[in-house]
Amino acid sequence: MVVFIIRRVLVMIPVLIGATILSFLLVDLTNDPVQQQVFEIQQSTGEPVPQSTVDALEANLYYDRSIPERYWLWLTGIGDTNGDIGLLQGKWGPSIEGSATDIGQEITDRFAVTLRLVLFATIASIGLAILTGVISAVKQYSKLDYTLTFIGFLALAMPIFWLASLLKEAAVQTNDALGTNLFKTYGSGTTGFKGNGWELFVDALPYLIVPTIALMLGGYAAMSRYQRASMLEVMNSDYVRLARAKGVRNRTVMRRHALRTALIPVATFAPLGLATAMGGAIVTESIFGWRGLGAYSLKAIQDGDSFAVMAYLLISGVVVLTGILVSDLLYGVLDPRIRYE
Amino acid sequence: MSETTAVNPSLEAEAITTVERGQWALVARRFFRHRLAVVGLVLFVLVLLFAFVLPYFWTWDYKIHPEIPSRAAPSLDHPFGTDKAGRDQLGAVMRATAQSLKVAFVVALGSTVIGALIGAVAGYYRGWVDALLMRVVDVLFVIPFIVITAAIAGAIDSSVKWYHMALILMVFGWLSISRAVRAEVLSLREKEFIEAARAAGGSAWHIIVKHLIPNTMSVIIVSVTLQIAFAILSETTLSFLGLGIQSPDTSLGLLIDAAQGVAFNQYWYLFYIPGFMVILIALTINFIGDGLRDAMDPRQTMVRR
Amino acid sequence: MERHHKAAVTIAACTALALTGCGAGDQRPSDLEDCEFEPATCNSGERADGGEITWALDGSWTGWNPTMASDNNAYLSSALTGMWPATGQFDPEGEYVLNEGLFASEPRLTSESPMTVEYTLKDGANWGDGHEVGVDDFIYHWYSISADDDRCAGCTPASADRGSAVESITGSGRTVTVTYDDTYSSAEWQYAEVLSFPAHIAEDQGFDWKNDPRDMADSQTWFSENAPIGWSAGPYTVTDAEAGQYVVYEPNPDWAGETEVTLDKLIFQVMEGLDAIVTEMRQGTIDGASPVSVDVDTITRLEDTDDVDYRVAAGPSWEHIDLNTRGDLLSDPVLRSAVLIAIDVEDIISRTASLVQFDAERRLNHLFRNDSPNFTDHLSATGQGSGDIELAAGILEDAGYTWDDGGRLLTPDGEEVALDYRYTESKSIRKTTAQLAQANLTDLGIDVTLDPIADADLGSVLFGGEFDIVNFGWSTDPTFVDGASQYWDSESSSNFGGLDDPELDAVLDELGDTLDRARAAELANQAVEMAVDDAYVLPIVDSPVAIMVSDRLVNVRDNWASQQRAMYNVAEWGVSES
Repeated sequence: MVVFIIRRVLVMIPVLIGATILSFLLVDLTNDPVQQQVFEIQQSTGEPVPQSTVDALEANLYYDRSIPERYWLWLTGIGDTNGDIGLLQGKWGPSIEGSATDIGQEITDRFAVTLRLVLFATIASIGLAILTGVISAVKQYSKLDYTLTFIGFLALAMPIFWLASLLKEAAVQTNDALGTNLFKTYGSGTTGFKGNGWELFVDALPYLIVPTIALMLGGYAAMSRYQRASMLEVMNSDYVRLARAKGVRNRTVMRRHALRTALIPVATFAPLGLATAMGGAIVTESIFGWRGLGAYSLKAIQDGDSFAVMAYLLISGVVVLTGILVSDLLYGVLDPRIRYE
Repeated sequence: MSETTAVNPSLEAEAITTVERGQWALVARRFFRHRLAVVGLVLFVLVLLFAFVLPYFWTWDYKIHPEIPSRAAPSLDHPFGTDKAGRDQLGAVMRATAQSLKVAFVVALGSTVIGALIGAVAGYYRGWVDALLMRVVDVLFVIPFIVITAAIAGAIDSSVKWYHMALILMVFGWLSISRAVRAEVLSLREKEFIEAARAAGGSAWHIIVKHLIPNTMSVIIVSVTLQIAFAILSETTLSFLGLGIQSPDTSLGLLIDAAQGVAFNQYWYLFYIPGFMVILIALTINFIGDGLRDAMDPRQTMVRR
Repeated sequence: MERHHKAAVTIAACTALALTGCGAGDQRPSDLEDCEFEPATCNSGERADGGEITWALDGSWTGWNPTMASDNNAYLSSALTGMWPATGQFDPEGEYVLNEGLFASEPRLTSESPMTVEYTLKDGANWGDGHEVGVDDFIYHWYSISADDDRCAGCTPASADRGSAVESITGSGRTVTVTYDDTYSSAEWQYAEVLSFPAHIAEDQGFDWKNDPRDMADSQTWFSENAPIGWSAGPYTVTDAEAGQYVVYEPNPDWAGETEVTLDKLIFQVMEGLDAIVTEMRQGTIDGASPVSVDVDTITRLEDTDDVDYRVAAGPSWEHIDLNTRGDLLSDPVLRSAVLIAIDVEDIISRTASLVQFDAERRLNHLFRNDSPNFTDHLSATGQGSGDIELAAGILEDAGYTWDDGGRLLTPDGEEVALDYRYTESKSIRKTTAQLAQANLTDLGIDVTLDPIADADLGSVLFGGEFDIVNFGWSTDPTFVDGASQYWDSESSSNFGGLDDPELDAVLDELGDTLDRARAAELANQAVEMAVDDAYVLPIVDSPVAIMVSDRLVNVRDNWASQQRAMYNVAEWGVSES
C-alpha cells in the first residue's frame, strides 16, 4: 500500500510536467500580452509608450526568449538574469501585472479563499448525493423517488450562472423583506477586516452561504444520478438477493453489502466532483465577486499571463491528482477484489 | 457485481447476436412503458422540430434587421418579442437551440465513443497500457477545462463557431466517461464470463467490444445523457464567461447572457425563454437516458414496474 | 430614462403610502438631474460634519506607481485621487482647475524657445509628514519619466514624451523652473504633470536616487510595491490599503488646500461588474459609483430603490469605425468614402446609446465634443455616416465600380469587394454596431465578414493592422494637441489604419510647434477636416456612462473631463446635513 502510494506520487510528477508543457504552449502560442499592455497604456496616457519601456517589459517577462527557453527558465531558473524565476528554486516567475504582484503570494491567498468555498460545497453535495441517491434507489418508483429524481434533474438542467444569478437576487429580496443584511452578495469577507481565526470565520460566514448553495446544487445532481444507478445495479444483483433470501435483515443487507459496493462509482466520481467544483467556482466567484483562484486564473488566461497560469495549473493539478489518488485508494478499501500491484 | 448475464461459453458469436436482437426489442418495449421517458422523448422531438424545421416556415432569422423595432413586446409578428438591437427573439431562439443542440450531439457522440473505448482498453489490459492511458487522462484532467477552452478559442482566427465549441468540449468530455468505464471494466474483467470468453479464445478486441462495453452500457448511457447536459450547460457557461460561440452567430448561452439584465423587469421573457429551452433540453434528455438505463438493465424484470 | 421614470414611481409609492414622510426628498436644492445644465455645480448642498462614504471602483490595479507602465491605469489614478500631487483637474465644464493644495498661482511660460515654465508652490504645501514639497520632488518625477538610463536605469515609464525633453529643473524659494530642450513645445504645457512621489521618502528608504540611476529605478519599484501610507499631498491620507482591493482614507490635517474636508472616512472599494455594483447599491452596501460601462436593463433596476439617484451621460470615451488604408481595396479613397457614407450612424445610435442615454448625440468631430467651444462640424457635409446608399453607390459608379447580377459590388478591375469587420466581442454596443453596419454595407453590395476579437487581442490586431474595418474606442479629455498627432500622424504608433497624408502631417507638425492655444485649436480643426476628406475614421458617439449615488451624498457628480470621473473633487464630498 505504502509502496503503491509512493509510486503514484512519483507518477504525478511527469503528469504535472506534461500538463504544464501543454498549457504553456497553449497560452504562449495564442497570446501577446506585452503588445496588449502597450496598447492599453497608450489608450490611458494618450501618448506613445517609449521604446525603452517596451523593450524592458519584454525583457522583464522573458518575452525576449523563445518559448522552449521560457519554459526551461520557468522550471529551473537556470540562465535567468533577474533572479525572479525558476520553480525548482521556489520562484514562480514574474507576472505581467508588474513587480508589485508576487504570483506565489497571490496564489496562496486566493487558494485559501477558493478552498473554503469548494470544500464546503463538495462535502455538502456528496452528502446530499449519497442520501438522495440511496433513498431514490431503495424506494424506486415511489413518489419520493420521482420527486427527488425530478429535483435532481432540474438542478442538473440549470446553467450554474443562471441559478447563481437567481439565488443572488433571491438573497437580495430576502434581505430587503427582512430589513437585514443577513446574506452578503459580494466578496468573501468585510473589506479590510482584520482579526483572529475565529473572528475571520464569523465575518466570512454570511458571505459564504449563498455561493455555497449555488455551487453545491450544480455538483450534487450528477453524483446523485450515479449513486442511484449503481445502487439499483447492486440491489438487483444475485448476492444481494441471496442475502435477502437467506433472511438477512434488509437494513443490514443495504449497509453491509449494497451500499458498500454501490459507493464505488461515487468514490470514482468524488475527486472529479472536486475538480468540477473548482471549475464551477470560476463562475460562482465571478458572480459573487470573490477574490478566489478561479477569478484569478480566468483573468490570467485572458491576459496571457503565462507564469500565473502555470502557478494556477500546479495548484489545481496537485489538488486533482491527490483527489484521484484518494479515490483509487478508496476502491481498494471498498472493493476487496481490486488489488494493488 | 452480478454475473447473471453469464454466457454459455459453448455458444458461438452468432448465437450471441440473436440474443442481442431479442434484447433490443425488449429494451424498446420496456422503454415505451417508462412514462416519463416517453414524455421526454416526445418533448425532445418537438424541440428538434422547433430548432431544425420551424425556421423554414418563419419570417425572421436570428439577425438584426433595421426594419424590426427594438424591444417590442411579444405579438403575433414577434411571438417572443424583439431585443434591444432589433432581432426577432423567436428566430434567435430557434437558431440558438439548433446551434446548442448540434454542439451537444457531436460532443455526446464523440466523447462517449472515445471515452468508452479508452476506458475499456485501459481496464481490460491493465498494466502499462492502463498506466499510460490513465496518465494521458490525468494530464488532460489536470489542465483546467477553462485553460484548454480559452486557449483554443483564442487560437481560432475567425469568430468561434459551433463546431469549434463541439471540438473543445469533446477534448474534455471523454475523460470522465473513460474513468467511469474503466472502473466498471476493472471489476468486470475478474468475472467468470470474461474469463470464459478468454478461455474460449476470444480476441481482446472481441471481448472489449462484445462483452465488456455492452456490460457497462448502463454506465455509458447515464454518461451520454450527462454529456449532452454537460455540453449544453458548458456552452451556456462559456458564453457567460465570454468564451463561447461568438456573434454574429448565436446560442442559448449568448441569448441568456445578453438578457441577464432584464430578468426582473418587463422584458423578462428575453431571459427566461432561452433559459427554459436549456432546462427543457437537459431535462428531456435526462428523462430519456433514465428510461433507457432502466430499460437496458438486463437484470431488471418487468414485474417490478 | 433617468428621473422622469423615477419620479413616476415615487408619486405612485407616495399615493400608496399616503403621506408617510414622502416628498421630503424632493425638496433638496439640487440633484443629478441638474447636471444637464449645471454640470459643475449640480447635486451640491450643505455638508454635515463627519460621515463616511464607501465608493465602488469598477476595476482594479496591480501596483501603486502610476508612472510605471505595468501599474498605469485609470483605476489606480482614481484610487490615489485623495492624496496625489496632481497639477490640476478639468472640471465637468472643461475648465482647468489648479491644485489648490500645491500651487500659489498658475504656472507661467517665461520663455518660448527653449520652452521654460515657472511654477510657484504654495506656502505650506507639504507631504503630510512635515516635509515641504520642493524642487527635489520635481526632479525626482522628471528622472522617473526621463526614459534615460543615466537618470533612471531600466525604468519603464508609461510615457516619456515630456520627461525625456526636460533640460533642467531649478528652484529658488517657492518657485521651480522647468526648462525644456529646443525640440519640445506644446500648446498644452500648463496641464503637464510635474510631481509624483516624494523624493525624501525615497531617500529615507535608502535610495541614493540623485546620483545612482540603479537606485532611482529601485526606488520606483519600491513605490510600486508599497501602498502610499504615511504621506499625502492631497486632502486625505491613506490609512489602510490593499492593491486591487480597497483604499481607506482619512482627512489629511496638514493639507494646504482651502476646501474644508468634512468626511471622517472615505473608502474606495473595488467591485467589478455593473451588475454587482447595482445590486450592492440597492442594498446600501456602497454609497456610489461611476462605472465605465452602462447597460439600460441593469441601471434601471435602481429605479425601485428610493434613496438612490442616478444619471447617464456622455462619457470620456468615444466610439469610432476605422478603415485600413493599407488594404488592397480600401487603399482607394473612393471606396473608403462610400463605405463610410453607407453606414447609418443615427440608426446605430438609436439601437445602442439612445436606449440608455435619452440625449445621446452623434459625435461629429474627432477632437472636440459637440458642446466644446472649438467644435466645428466637418462631417455632415460629406455624407459620411448618413446611410445614404444612393449617394454611396453614385460615387462608386462614377469611379468605375460596377455591380454583378447578384448585386455584388465589383471594383473597376472586376474584383469582388469583400471586407473583414472586427470588433471586441465583450462590448454589446459594438456587437450591435457591427451587425447594423454589416446590413448597411450589404445594401451597397459589399460582402462583410464579422470577425470578433478577444479583449486581450485588440492591441495586437490594431498594431498588426489585421483588419479592413475595425470598431473600438478612444479616451479623451479637453486636451487635443497630442490626440491629433496620435490619430493621424503617419509616424504615430496609434495610427492603426496607416493613414499617410503628407499635407495632414504638415498641419500636425505646425500644431505641435505652436504655443498658442487658440491657434492650436484652429489647426486641430483643419486637421479634422483633412482627415474627414481622407475618409479614414468615422466617429459614432461618446459612450454613455453612469453615475449612481446615495441621496445622502452631496457635491458628488460625474465628470467626463477627468480620468478620475466623479472622484475629481473628493475634497468637497460630504454627507448631507438633513
